[in-house]
Amino acid sequence: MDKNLKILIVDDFSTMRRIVKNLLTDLGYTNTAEADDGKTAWPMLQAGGFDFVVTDWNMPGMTGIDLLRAIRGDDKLKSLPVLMVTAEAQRDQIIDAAKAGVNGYIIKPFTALTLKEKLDKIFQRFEQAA
Amino acid sequence: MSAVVVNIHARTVERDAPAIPDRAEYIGRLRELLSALEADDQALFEARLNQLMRLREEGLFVNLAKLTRELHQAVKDLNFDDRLQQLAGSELPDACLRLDYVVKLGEDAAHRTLDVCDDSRVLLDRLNGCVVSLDDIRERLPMVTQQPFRALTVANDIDQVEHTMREIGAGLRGHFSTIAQAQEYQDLSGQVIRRVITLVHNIEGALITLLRATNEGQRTPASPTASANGELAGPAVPGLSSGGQSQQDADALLAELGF
Repeated sequence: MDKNLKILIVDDFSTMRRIVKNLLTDLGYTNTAEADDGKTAWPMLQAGGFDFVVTDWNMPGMTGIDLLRAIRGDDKLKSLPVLMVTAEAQRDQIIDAAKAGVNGYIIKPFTALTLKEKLDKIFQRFEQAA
Repeated sequence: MSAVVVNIHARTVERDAPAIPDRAEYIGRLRELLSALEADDQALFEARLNQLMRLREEGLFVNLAKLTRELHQAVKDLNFDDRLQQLAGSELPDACLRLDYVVKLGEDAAHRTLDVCDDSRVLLDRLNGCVVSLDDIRERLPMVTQQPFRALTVANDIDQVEHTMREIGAGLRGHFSTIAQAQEYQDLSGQVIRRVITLVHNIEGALITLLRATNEGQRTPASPTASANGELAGPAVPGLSSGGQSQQDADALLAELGF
């Protein structure tokens, strides 16, 4: 997979954004940007250039699930891969995320290995589809 | 408060209502009243009717006094004003400030740790540079046997690498102690959280007392549900059966859904 793809990290906690950013850097993905909720992320995505989104669910302003729905409902962005990294662990929520078209779901707290596995799986599927 | 008063009153009346107080005395006095009536003795009839009415009034006063005492005691026992006012007026806002402080402590510690991780990455890059330098020195070693005067330069270069590595070592040691020290927030935040837990218990106790006083005590309070009002459940907490899924559960569920 192209390690230079541009990843948007969306989380309201700056510490979690840094942790995800560090883990992605360790995996070789150094081209990242950050947003603190869906509202901030949306214009950045609209401006274009992003290849991947890692988002939290529970955020003020605009939640991750709303951001995901907005992405899937937008002609330009609808095929953008979205990985949800969230503390929300209810069965119904996972199903909601799946229905909304999430590409991967990671429950916090998580390990570097889990993040790598999910990323690899998503990229693998995209390569197969391509 | 008015609801409490009404309910205490209602409960007391309800409890005393089925039994007629002084039943035997009433029967005796009514018989005497009836005999006076049958004898057509007006003076005696009036006197006995008055006695009967006085008996009724006395009963009312006794009951009224009893109710007043019960009400007074209930209010005194609950200590509504002091306790609730203290909880709602100062301790709850105080708890919110304390929890804000805990959030800040944790966030600061996380950032300090992450800063040190960033700095350590820079040191690791320098360490990689040392490895490259050592490779370079190793390649130059055969030259030293041919041209011994080069030995001094090589020795200087080795000294330089050694110096750099010692610096990196000292730097990393310092970073480790900073990381370890950053964990001290846990002690402070733990203490603050424990205080807030005590406060929550106190509020719970006061609310249960209030419920009992308003005659709702028999009903067990419903346990709070995670997403009762459309709120997100948040992190799953061990020991609370909130139906939280593990990563494995989530993976299995998504696989079932065709992911």
